[in-house]
Amino acid sequence: MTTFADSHFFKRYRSAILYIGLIFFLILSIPYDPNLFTGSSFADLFSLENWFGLATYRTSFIAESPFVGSDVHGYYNWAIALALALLLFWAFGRKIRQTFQADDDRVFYWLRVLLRYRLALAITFIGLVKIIPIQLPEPTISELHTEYGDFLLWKLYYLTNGIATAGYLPVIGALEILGGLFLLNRRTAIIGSGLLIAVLLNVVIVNYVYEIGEQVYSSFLLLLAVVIFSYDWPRFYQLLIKKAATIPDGFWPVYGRRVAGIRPYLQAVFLLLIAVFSVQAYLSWKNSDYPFPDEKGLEGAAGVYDVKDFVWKGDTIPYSLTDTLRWKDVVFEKWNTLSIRGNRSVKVDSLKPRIAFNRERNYEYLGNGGREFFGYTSKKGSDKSTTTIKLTGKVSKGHTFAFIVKRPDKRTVLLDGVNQLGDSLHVRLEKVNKKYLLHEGRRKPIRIY
Amino acid sequence: MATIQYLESIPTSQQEQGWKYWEKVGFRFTFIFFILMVVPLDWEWYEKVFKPESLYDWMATIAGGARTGWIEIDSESGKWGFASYTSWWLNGLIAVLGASIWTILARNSKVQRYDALYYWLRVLVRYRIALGLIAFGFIKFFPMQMPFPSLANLNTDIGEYAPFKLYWQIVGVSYKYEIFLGFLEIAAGSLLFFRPTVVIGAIINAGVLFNIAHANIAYDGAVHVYSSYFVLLSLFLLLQYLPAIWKLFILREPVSTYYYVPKFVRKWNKPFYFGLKATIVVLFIFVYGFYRYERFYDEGRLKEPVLPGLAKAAGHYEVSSFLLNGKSQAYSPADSVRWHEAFFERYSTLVYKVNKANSIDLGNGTPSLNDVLKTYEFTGRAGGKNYLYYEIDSTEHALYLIDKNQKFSKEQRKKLDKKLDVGLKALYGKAQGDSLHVLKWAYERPTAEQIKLKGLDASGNNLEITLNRVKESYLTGKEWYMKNTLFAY
Repeated sequence: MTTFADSHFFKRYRSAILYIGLIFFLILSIPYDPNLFTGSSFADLFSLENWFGLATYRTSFIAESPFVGSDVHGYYNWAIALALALLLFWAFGRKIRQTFQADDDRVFYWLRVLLRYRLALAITFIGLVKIIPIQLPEPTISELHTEYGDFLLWKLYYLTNGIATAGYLPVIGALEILGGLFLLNRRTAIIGSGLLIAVLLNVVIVNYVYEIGEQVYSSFLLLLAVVIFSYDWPRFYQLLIKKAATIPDGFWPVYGRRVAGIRPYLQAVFLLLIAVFSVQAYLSWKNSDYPFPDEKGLEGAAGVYDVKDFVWKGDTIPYSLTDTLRWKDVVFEKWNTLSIRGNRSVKVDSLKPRIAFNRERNYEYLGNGGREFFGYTSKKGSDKSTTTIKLTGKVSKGHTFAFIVKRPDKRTVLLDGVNQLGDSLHVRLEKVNKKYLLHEGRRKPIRIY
Repeated sequence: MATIQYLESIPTSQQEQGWKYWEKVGFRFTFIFFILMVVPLDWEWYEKVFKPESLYDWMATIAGGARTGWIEIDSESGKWGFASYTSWWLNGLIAVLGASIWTILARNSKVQRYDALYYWLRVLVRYRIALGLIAFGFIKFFPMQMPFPSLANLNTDIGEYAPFKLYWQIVGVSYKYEIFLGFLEIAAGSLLFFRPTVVIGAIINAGVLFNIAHANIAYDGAVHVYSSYFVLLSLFLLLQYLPAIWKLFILREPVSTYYYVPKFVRKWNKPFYFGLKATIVVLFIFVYGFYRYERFYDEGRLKEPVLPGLAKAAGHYEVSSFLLNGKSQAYSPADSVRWHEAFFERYSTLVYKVNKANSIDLGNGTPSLNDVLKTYEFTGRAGGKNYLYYEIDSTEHALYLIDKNQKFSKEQRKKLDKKLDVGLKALYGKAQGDSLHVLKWAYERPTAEQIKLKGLDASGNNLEITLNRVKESYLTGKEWYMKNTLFAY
């Protein structure tokens, strides 16, 4: 018989690292941020976006930039948390250890419990919004009619993922959820964390490359996965690289009576949380056009329109690809959004995309510099054939139009009215029967404009 | 408090145990199946291996393997769906039959274990994956598989792209990402050369290639069979370790593993083994890498053209005047003759847009030497854009142009693909030039921002076109391209 002694993961002299790590991760994991709930009423507290916000909570001593881009100031928060942890340990380290009266193996166990559940919560929520296509929807008509070079990088990345078929995104979401669920059991934690290291490594790189803006947060999740995996690394190395005899993890947690009693309930609550969020996310997606506005647009108007006539303050401006006033094409979405492509550059809203049901649904125009987006309200006129609509710019809120809409036939829309400065405008739009190569694909030979 | 545990079985005892009956039957199936999967069944492949044109060709043939299987079913599913895996199913069927026959023949055999066969089967599979992935990786490591979108492509609506093009292009947007992916594939492939790192290599390969295969299905990328092939092979490599992983991590029992490794029996075995292995590793990582570098940077065998276009003319142009047989034409988005806009790329491609349906080239846009055959810039893209390849005669101020989106016969392609350019001037007015529809236009550049073109189009109309460069910046950021040693732009 061969005898093996399991060595401690943390040697005595390393135990300071353990305590500092515990404080560090506690600071970065527990949502105590008072700003988290400001601006939302009590009813909002149980809304989808707050669930999501809580699950993907990040501690921000310094607020992260709300915009996409290559800004990684968020890492300062890690530095601050580390400094705090060092300070706290230096000041109270001895006291903490005395009160805990636990050996390092136990402390590390509880640290891993914290990290496992923290990561599982975040990653299952993140996976769910991919399975239920909330985060990455298919391109809108406006987006189909925007040039490639007029999108911010993150939007191109989202759009490209949004057109995937064959369950590509749901499978990635499912892998994330699977990884998260594997973390809930001590024995499968190595598989879960290994899987998540692979997935998250790509997420982090993609965030950097396409300037999606979650560089810091995704690398935090990766860090959690790495720490969880590191516990089993010596065994992984022994078994699969050295291929020598290996003994399993010798640590078996012993719970006190109170912990043992409350543990199953906490686990049930955790699973319930995921279940509730799933149902809520599914219902919200099903009953709403999320991430697009819920208000319906003009009936039967959805489509892309050629701008046949364009009369600006009485002057007819012919077709032009250079005139800065002339419109090139107009899109009516199914909802109350109208977007115009002109010849001048448009201000781009570079806010980060986020899950936000109750706030303005801005996904459709974020990161798009090729078209100007308007929301509109419509009112039926006194005689039934006319409707008036009021357009308000989504990015430049001061940019408005008030139009009387006439629709002499199914394909034509006449707009008569003024802009915010009182300049008169008459526009005749004609619907284009457009076929898209994007939808036709490459499976059959095709001739198309 | 150290935890003391005892291993109940000592490693050596496993060697003497025979395999169970079903383990042997399973192995027979697996052996035949993977031999069929890995050993090429294509005679052309062997011709290329035994009569290679160059060392590079020989290595590329070995590393690429034979992608064709037994059979290709000519249907939609045969190219894109379930039926495209028919060769796999056939291999499985043959393996079932073969395993049955083997089992009957071996009923009185005294063989207890297939250790040696299993070991060498794994070696075969390891090297197959390693070479295939290294070849895969180098076309990204020297980023040529997915170039940055051309100017014309940046000005193409999302809806005008076929899905597979958007997938390729999003990778092409960032050369850093592309190089990283290439490095990952080369590294994970190389890990399979060495026994200790096989598990890590196989895990990475299975993960990366699963994603690639799924993406190819999701976007109709057309390489789903070949990429899922590597997933299957990688999973096969991991199979051996699953019982140990299950036992150690899930059941939490001590594990002592025994994996057969052949011993060096004769004196010459050891130096021969190390010599052969070192040769393979050096050849396929370093020599192959050098060749890939050379083809990219010194020869220009790429997906994107390399011959420089008109000097400092690259840009997006608006068509400020367009005379058709002397008559001025106004712009209208419905016009199928009058140009809407034009692009000069940094290389010798001129693009113009009119409202006319084109037959779309649905190929991937594979690399070539001759610039006319480099189709990546227009494959899978609609929107009425026409792509002209041109050669410049700067003394005469003339451009010789041909439409890139035309079908070249196999002989024409072979003839063209011997050098970078075509030599249009020499062909112009001759029978061969007429079959390519060579056009000759005079050009003038009154200012740095303006280009005037004059000449006959393919239908014999007289065109006089004035182009003005548009100041344009793109949200996708600054374009990238790798500098080659042939030209400066």
